This record gives sequence, structure tokens and C-alpha cells, in this order.
Amino acid sequence: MTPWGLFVLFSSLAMIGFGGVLPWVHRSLVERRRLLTPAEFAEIFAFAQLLPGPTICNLAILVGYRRCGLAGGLAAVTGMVVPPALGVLGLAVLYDHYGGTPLVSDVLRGMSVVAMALICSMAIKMARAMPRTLRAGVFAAAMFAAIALLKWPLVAVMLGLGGLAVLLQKKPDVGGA
Amino acid sequence: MDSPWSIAGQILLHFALLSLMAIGGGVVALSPEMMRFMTETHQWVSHQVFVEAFTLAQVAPGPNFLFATILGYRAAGVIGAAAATVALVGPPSLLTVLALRYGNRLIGRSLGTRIRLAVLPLSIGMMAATSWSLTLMAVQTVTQIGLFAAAVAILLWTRLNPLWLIAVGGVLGALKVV
Repeated sequence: MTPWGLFVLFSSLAMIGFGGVLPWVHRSLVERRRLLTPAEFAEIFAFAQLLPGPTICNLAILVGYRRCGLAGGLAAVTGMVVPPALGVLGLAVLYDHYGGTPLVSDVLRGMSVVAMALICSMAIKMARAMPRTLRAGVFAAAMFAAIALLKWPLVAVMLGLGGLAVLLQKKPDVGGA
Repeated sequence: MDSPWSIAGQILLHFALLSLMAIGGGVVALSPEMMRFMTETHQWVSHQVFVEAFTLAQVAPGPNFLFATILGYRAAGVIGAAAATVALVGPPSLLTVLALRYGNRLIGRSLGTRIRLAVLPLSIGMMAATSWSLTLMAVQTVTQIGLFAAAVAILLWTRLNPLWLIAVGGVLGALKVV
């Protein structure tokens, strides 16, 4: 697969990804084209989530790099970002012109409620996967309180809590998560 | 009043810094901080515009973090949009490529696993904070709360495509039910 092919593939995945691209990437790469096995996908996805930045972009880079080196990785992420960014910009401009009408505001308001539900359910699903230890709970609660309730700046909180968490984290084989 | 170039520059710097902190939950988890920066530290957009941008990006095809593109546009036009997008994608992409090339040599499995385990509760806390802050803004009336609760339940316990729910939300909004 050439870099151009990767660009086309990932931009088409992005442009049909209404509401989110990930399920389409799985469908295409694992189920349809069989470029990755389910196990490979899961591993790449976990790595993409751990690395900073938008998960789907990291995933594109990882897959693209695997197939075509640096050029492949860059082509894939460019496809994932640029066409949809232009699309979203076009939508925002359209909204400027036609969005002011009461009907559009009403529709968007209703959609926003559901969009919030999407975030909430994602947070709950993540919380289900959390290790059930006191330390994990305390750190999660501290993070929540600092950001949502105290509204402290993220940079400081992340460095502080993050540094503390890594220091306290024992090696996996020693036990204690 | 700052010029668009100045605003775009500040967005570029701040979002680039934030991008490196989007661990585990993606960029969406950075929303409370982005909101704070865009609506309070600088009054470049209102809270309502923030929620609108978020929803538009959810509905549009493509990655959801592109709500930042809209925010950048609202704050500083096309260069603001470009700045916000490049800032969120650029540094992490560079880091990912570096990790691919040199990661195994520098960090090794053990430290990598330690970091991953340590950060997991924090990213969950961040996600919870994001949900909290955004929901408070968009879900206020009794019917909105009802729709919100029903949608969360459906999302957690069925495999229904979320786009159907978004469509229902739009219809209910048009009917002035929510």
C-alpha cells in the first residue's frame, strides 16, 4: 500500500465516520480488508490511546507507519485530519449563515443533550474498566475534584498528580496497581 | 482587542501544550481546560458557542476532536481554525513517530506499563470531569435531564448506533420538547 493509498483510505474512513471514526476503522481494517487481526488492532489501539493526542490520529500513524514507514504514517494522519477539518469548517460557516434560525437552534439544542449523554456513557464505560483499588479510586476522585470542582489549571494538576501516581506505581510483577 | 494572528498564536501555543496531556481519554477529556482558556481566561468565545462547536463536531463526519477547529474559527477565523487543529495534532504526531522509532530503546516495557497503570485512574477522572462540566451546560430542564438519562441508559445497555439517538434528540428539540 502506497502513502497515497493510505491517505485515500484514511480520509474515506474519516468522511463516513459520522459521530466517530473508530468503529469504521475497525470494520475496514480488520473485518473487510483484513490488514490487521483483531488482536493486532487491540494492541495498536491501546498504544494509540496511551500516547498523547487524539487516539484516532495516533492509530492512523501507527497503521500507516507499519505499512509504509514515515511517509505512510504521515499520509494516513493527514487523511484523517485535513478533509474532515475542512468539512467541519464548512459546516461552521453554513451554521453562521443559516444557523441563527430558531429551528436550527432547537435541533442543535436537542442534539447537544444526546452528545452529552455520549460523553457520559463513555466516561462510565471507562470507569468500569478501572482497577478496583483504593489508590485508583482516590487518584480518579482527586483528578475529578481538581478539574471539575476546583477548576485548577490542567497542566499543574497533571504534572502533580501524574508525577505522584507514577512514583507510587509499583512494577507490575511486584504487585499493587 | 487582540488581532486574529495574536489570538491564533496563543491558541497554537496553549493547545500544543495541552495536546501532550491528552492521554487515555483523547482530546475530548481536555475540554474543561480548553473551555476555561477560551471562555474565561480569554473571552474569545461564549459557553454556548463552545457547546455548539462540540455538537457540530459530533454530528459531522470525522474525528470528534475537530470541535477545536470550530473553536479556533470562532475565535480567530480560518487561521484560528488552522492553529487549533495543527496544535492538537502536530506535537502528538511527532511524539508518536519518535516513539515508533526509538521507544523500545528508551523506555522499555516495565516503565511503559507502570506509566500506563498510573495514568489510567487519572484519565478516568479527567473523563468524568469533562462529562460533568459539559453536561451542566447543556442539560438543564427536566425534559433535557430525562432525555439525557434515557440516552445514557440506551448507550450503556444496547448496541444502538448513537447517530439514531442524536437524530431523536434533534427531532425532540425541533418539537420544543427538550
